[in-house]
Amino acid sequence: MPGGRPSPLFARGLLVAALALCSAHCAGPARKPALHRIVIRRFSYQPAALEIAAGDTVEWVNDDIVPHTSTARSGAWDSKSISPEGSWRTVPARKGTEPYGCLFHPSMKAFLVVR
Amino acid sequence: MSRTVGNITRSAALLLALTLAAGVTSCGKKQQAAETTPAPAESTATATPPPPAVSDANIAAIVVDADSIDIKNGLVAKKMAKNAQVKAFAQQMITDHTSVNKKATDLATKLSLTPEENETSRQLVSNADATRDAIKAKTGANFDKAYIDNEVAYHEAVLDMLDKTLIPNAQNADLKSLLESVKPAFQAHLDHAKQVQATLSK
Repeated sequence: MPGGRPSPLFARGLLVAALALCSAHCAGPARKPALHRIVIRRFSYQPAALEIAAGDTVEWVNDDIVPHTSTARSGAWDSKSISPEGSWRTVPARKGTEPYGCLFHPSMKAFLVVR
Repeated sequence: MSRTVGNITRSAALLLALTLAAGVTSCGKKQQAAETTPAPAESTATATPPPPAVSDANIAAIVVDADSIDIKNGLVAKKMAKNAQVKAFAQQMITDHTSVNKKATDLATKLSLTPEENETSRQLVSNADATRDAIKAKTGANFDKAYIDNEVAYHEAVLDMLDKTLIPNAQNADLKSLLESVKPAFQAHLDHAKQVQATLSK
């Protein structure tokens, strides 16, 4: 029907094609995963709350005088013992808020938010 | 019975406080005497500050002794405790206080500071030995409770000593910094001991 309005089906098809093109060409370059460092000092995680993007790496550095761990409450990760001056890293896989702490010292608590 | 053990530790803490207070008081008296003695007319020099109640060498000895005491307590508990949480706590005390002692002795070596035993450190060790003997005389659940009760009282007493005597009197900046790093360890141990104590009383 030349000169008439395009059918709704045709319009929807155009929209889907436009979106597909945009997602292929309009998005910026892929974000490079970041490295975040958490320092364990004087029986606390610094910072105690950290937001990261999925795929980022988190490293815990033990700057304290005794061994500590970084152990997710959900069981998502467990560093085992990190000696003074030692470090341990992981890429938290699960999105959401993940509380964690030290297996050796129950008063040490912190959390990660994976977006 | 555990009350007796707690009392022993509280007495030890009181004795410690009195010993330290006596040191500070006698130091204060000397200062007062110096202030009331008329100064020579020709003296224009400013007054020399009084020496600290405990020297850095004394503090080093007290820290090493305080750690060693808790390692010894832990070794006894690791062998005699029945409760799994008490055993794990004892192992934690051995690990942490061994680590702290290494830091303290490394620092003393670096500073060429020879730990010097003194009235406070001697009192600390003799009271702890007597308390440990009393705890060792117990068995089973009574032992577990006596050990944990003593750990709560002991860590409270050492924290008090760190706050009121050791940190304020430390002259060397590195030693003061080490003491400030040690304090959260004792606080975390105290919290942990109280947590285990609460589960034992259920």
